[in-house]
Amino acid sequence: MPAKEEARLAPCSRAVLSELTGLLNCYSPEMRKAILSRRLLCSERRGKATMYSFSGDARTVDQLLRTEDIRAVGVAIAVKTSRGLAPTLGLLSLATSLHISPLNHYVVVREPGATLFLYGRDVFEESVEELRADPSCGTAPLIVLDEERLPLGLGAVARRRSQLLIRNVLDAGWYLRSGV
Amino acid sequence: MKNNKTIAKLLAETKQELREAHRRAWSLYGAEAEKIARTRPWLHPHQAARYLAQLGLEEAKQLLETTEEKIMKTVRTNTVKTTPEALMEKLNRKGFKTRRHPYLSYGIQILHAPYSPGAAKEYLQGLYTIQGPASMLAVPSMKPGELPPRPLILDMCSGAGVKSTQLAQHRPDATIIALDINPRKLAALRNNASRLGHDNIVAVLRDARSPPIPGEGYDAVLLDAPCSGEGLLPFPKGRWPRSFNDIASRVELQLQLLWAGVEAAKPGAPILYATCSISVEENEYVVSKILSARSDVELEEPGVRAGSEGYTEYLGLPLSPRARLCRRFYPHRHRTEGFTICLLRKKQG
Repeated sequence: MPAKEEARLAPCSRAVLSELTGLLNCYSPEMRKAILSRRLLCSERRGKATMYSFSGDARTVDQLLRTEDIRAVGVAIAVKTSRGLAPTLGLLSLATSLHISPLNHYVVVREPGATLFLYGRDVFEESVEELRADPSCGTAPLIVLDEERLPLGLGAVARRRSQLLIRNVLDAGWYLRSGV
Repeated sequence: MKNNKTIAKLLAETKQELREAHRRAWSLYGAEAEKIARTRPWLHPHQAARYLAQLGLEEAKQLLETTEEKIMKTVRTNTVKTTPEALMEKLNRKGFKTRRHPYLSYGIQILHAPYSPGAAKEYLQGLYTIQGPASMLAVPSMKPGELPPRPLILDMCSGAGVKSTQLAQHRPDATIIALDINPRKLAALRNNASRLGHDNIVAVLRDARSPPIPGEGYDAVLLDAPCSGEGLLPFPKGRWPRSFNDIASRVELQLQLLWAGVEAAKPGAPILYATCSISVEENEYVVSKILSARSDVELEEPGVRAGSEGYTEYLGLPLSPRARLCRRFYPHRHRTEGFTICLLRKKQG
């Protein structure tokens, strides 16, 4: 994150929160309830808004935001661009910490597809164990889970030569590939 | 409570005391130290002299002969996402051989790894993180379970946040303020907090010698101080020469940081001081100097009772008799990286 970006952190607008509510509801009402009960902060930079979940003391962070060069607050859970609101790996990780699994709009992937997905690859039909894609979720990506229902990343349903394909949108291998 | 000295006075005094101690070390052990260092180009003769003063000839040799293969390779279970049992089962299914950490219930020792533990799916899913076997004892040594509800915790030199995230898993109700002067480290902290799923950490770019102090101060302070890194001697990256002056310059910074840490703590708050160094100068001496200069802080037994006792005598340096309460970990004795942990507490009232 570039210097001082977090200095522009502010409570999220009602419009962004309503969009986030819709996105979370798509995966699970429990997820919506748990995330919306936390303090949500937004930062905007070059037309891209990032939303952060923070469970610590709000007054302390407000005080620090006024005086300190803050580089991160909590976990980034969603990013809004001109293409819409998309969840991040942080949201999936936080949901695991809160012991919440998606009830809707997900795909379960068997090995070796799960491991290959973490290398940035798409998932072929033979590795798909269960698919619950909800058209009412619009452009929201599917949560890609392994056989133990733990998140691997985000995907989108596609077709290739009439075969089902889960396109890799974002995978947890990014934590390694980012080199940070 | 009144403090008898200022930090400036303390630093001046320290310089003099260290100079005398190192002169003594050289006059007693210089000849033998030169001999030991001759066959080890990465070892400064000053370093060898300090090890001889600290451990004696036989044990100093054992320390210098310990290589990285002898050190336990360990990972730390992220207990907010899984249990050590479930994680060990998953890793064992993948061809890893694991067993429990000898001193910490959620630490796991990797006896055999078919590939790097940092590349496993479970790592990317944030079920564990890689952490040294002694380093992971620092946070539990702070007795985090005894802190008040929703504690405010300061991690003064957080680096990539390995200990900040460990604090977060012990106390998901806490607010953790993690400081570092390196923005790249804070970027790594942000990714680690995301991967491990902890949203109670605030990363602040700041020199920890003047930490922000919200409200009445912190309920706990963790200072994993920048040090000579002598604890990493078994590893190729830790094998570089350290002169007496190198150690003295670290001590100066450590004293300033620990002083600031005590200032930032609320009365009654624990202040955990740790280094990845085995030198007495950077550990018992730093803590003893703070105890001698400030009447508002005391030393107590850390929450983890493993390791060897701290030193109370070394090259004529003024060490507190209570410095034996510090816990030391040595590569050749404990199969860990070299590490030292001291638990201080700011007095009430």
